[in-house]
Amino acid sequence: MLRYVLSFFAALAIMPIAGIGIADNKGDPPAIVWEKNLEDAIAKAKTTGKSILLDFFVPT
Amino acid sequence: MGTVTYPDSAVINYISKNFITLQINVQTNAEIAGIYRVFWTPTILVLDSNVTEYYRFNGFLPPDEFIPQLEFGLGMMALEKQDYKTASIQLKSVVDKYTRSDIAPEAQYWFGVSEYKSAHNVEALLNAWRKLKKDYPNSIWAKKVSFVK
Repeated sequence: MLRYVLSFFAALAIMPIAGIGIADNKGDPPAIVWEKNLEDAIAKAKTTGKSILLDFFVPT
Repeated sequence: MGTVTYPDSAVINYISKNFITLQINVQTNAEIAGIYRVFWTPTILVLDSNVTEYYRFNGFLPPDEFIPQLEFGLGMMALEKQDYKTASIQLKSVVDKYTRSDIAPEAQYWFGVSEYKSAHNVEALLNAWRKLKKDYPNSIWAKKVSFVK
């Protein structure tokens, strides 16, 4: 029983720290957003002023 | 790349801030692969919005080498476009932030070139190349400037 009580309080103590971690990653995209085709990539590059990263690959 | 480098949070952040990204399967897009003379994968290209190629590299790279390569590519694009201010910032950033990366010696070489071209400052060029000789004595880029005293 004591173990469960201690676990509960430990979880309470950790939650704010975990919350800060989540807040820090708030603006980060979860993954790279790949455009569907070259035309879309060019259009977005022109709009945003960014360069294009083109990755030629073979599915594995 | 898809299982190690692209899921890395630093890679995601860097790419998201600096690039529009596109993956092309060479097996189903042979025409585009042919236009860019791709004969091996992965092949990574850095293009401007006119799809002009400015930098490429082949083969898998882990995140700690992949990001410097991309930043170097942006620096070389700026250098070729004669935007020397941007080129110097990008290339110096590669050397300063990724000092131990394999691309750092080459970045230091071209940083000197960018500094020279921006103001025809010979001393800036020589200082950059002296630093290259001192910091990366075993690189081929140090050999390219070995004549510098």
